[in-house]
Amino acid sequence: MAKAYDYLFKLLLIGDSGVGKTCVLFRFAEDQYNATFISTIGIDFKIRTIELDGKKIKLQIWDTAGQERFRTITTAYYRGAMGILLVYDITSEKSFDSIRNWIRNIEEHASADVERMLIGNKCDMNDRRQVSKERGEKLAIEYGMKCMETSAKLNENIENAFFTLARDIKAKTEKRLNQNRPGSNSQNGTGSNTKLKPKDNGGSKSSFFKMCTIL
Amino acid sequence: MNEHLLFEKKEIYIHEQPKEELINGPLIEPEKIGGRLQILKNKNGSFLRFLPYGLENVVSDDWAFVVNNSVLTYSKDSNSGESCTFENKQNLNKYKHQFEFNELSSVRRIYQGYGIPCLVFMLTDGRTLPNLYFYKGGSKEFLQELSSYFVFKKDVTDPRLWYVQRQNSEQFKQSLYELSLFNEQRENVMKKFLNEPVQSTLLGFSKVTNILRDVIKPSESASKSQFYVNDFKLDIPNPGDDMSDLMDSLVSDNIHSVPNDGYEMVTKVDLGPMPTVDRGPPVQKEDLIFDKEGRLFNHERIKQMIFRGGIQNELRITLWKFLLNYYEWDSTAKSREQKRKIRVEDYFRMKLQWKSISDEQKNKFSLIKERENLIEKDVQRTDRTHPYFESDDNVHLVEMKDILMTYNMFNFDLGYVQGMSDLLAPIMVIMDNEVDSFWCFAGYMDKIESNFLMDQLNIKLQLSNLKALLEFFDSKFSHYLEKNESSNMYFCFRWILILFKREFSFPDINRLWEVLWTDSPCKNFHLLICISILLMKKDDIMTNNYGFNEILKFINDLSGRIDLEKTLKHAEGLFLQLQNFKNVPNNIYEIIGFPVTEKNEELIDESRLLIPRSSSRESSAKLSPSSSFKSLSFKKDDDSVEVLN
Repeated sequence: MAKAYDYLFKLLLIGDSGVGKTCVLFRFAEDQYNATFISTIGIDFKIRTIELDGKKIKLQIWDTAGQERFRTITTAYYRGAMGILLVYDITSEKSFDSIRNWIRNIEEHASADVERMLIGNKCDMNDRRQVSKERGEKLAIEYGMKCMETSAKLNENIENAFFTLARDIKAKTEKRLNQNRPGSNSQNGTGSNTKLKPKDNGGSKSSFFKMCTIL
Repeated sequence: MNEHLLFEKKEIYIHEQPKEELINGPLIEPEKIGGRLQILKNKNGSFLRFLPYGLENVVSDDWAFVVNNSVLTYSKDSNSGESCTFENKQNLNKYKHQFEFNELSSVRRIYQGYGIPCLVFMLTDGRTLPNLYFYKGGSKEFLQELSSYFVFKKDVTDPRLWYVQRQNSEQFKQSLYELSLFNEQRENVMKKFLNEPVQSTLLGFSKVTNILRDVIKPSESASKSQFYVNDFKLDIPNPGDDMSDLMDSLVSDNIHSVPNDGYEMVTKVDLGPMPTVDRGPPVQKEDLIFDKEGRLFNHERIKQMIFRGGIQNELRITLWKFLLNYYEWDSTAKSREQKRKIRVEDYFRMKLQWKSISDEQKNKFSLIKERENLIEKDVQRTDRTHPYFESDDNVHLVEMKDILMTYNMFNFDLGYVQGMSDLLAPIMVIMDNEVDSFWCFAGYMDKIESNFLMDQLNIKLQLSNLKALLEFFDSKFSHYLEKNESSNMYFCFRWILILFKREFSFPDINRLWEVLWTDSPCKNFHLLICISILLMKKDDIMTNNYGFNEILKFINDLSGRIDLEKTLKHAEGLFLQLQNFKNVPNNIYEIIGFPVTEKNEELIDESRLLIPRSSSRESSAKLSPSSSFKSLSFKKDDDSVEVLN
């Protein structure tokens, strides 16, 4: 039987309520857009398997409730996320301002080496724009992440965003994988595994590489 | 696309949740989406697909006519003659489902409510496909066809559940396991534990072992030990902590004096047979008798009837006002009239308070502005598939916003929290009046306001109570959840926050809520409903070996497929079991809030002697400002070890 996938990546969508996280996810996972999606209560995920350089990558994408008071519940599911899409709404200054809080939130609850990407959604509503593209880029540079403006409605850059993030995670994973090969100069000196098995690095936060699986 | 059709079965249907109560009675005809269930193969391997009629390119017996995204489909049906549907193609897309064969975890064949065989596919990542109804039979045949691709094993406890046995199942489990993000590999935990200087902890556990031994060999102290076990187990630290694994190994390795199922014996409380519970008919017009002053006669009886059978849809507009404290149960017609007058005035006074804020003022009143934004966004996406809220230029959407904004003025400290619009929507549909909807909603919020508080402590308390109940009713399953880092029960968060609103159809949620509003038969009955659902679904979770992520997904996907009447009966059955059981631990009594009878008083006293700190621990859990469950439970655990000394 063919294997289901080569890699399994857990991704998170976070950002203020109403910025369009669920719409972005539906567009990507099911190629659908509906302006009247229901608000997300709690947390849920969707799956899409993509192919990158001949590798099958199963993306498990988590969608979270945006309102602050639910964070204690939703952050429980941050663990093991390998990529995070920080979403704001280009027509909402406030949602952009919140990105810094969300980044702090990630730093507390997600693994340290998680790949991050800034998403300015609703770029089809240029006439109501409150956050310029430049400001988004500036913030992204400040935190060392990529950024992209998207429109779930018009299906603009949605695929691109997820594929880019997946590609970066894959590169990171494979780099680490190669380092861990026997004979190579492994950084942590445990290079006896070709499988990325969880290893205790003594830290309280789990490294994201522990979560990678090679079948 | 290079795909080959290997097998196909037509006339398969997905049921869409009913939006409104069209007819009275337990069976509400669902909306049906027809299609074909196919086994296909492409370069990546075999996969299964449900393709709704109208989305296929090739049509054989049936035909489809496509205009601008909309599809008119026609199909011959030997039972009912023929069917013709006109649907938006975009909408059809959401009913298309497919998965690769190596994603399949198990399949269940059931006869749901309507006596139609149906297959439920569960995937390794926790997803569950919608029930696929075989209206013309052939579900067995389809399973047979599938079995040529899989090694199916029948589940021991549930003969209708087949799970896929894989040769490389180890790898599969490994991948899922690693995705479930354990910090260490489980096997190492014990070793690590032993190597590290934590003798004190082990010492504590050895005492626990002794107690567990007592329980395994039920002696004259059996009932006492029961207290210990339950109280102790409650204190087991949360998500996948080393402790629970240690516990596991202690139980399985050290106390293996009873062959194999020793563990089961420790945990199983014999509650006696589940009592049969009958539900009754909904309250009808004839049941309501008013005296000459318009006082409702024997309202306690009416409340009991509501608990037993709900309310006929047309009467909800009247009775919900009593249930939601809009009117007093013993009010006269005249006093109700007066009250309503005041309510109307009050409502419009408060509405004017925010309506009269000018734009300039609003720009300097960011809190109001922020909340208005949030409300506007949520109104646009609350139950928009329901006819009452469907069209875009809909007066009910304006009303919903106005009610929520006015509630914000009425209860400004709380403000607007997501989930409130979900609670309001069914009330609006029933009341069909802005003022009445507002006050009924406010009455509902009075009951569950604490769910929405900033600190979320009450939600967490409910979740931890839920865990305690589960531990009592089925500690094996409770232990399974612990092992899978799910003992914080966060996967039930949505159930509790908005009282199952997202899990049931509109007609069902009306029924469930009015039952809960009667506050019968005990406090926290909604937690017994949770337990019922969990117990009915635990085999699925355990057989599919679902972990942290998958459990959440599985529970989320239960939405729309829980049988309400069955659940209500079962939950009441659980209550009756508790009521009949002699040795219900103190903490369970507190959760359920049984009236303390003389006999119970004795019992509670006895348990307090055993565990003198239990009440103080309980309150410390309630009051602790800590947002972390983990620290709470550790603290509790420390205490418990001390207590056991």
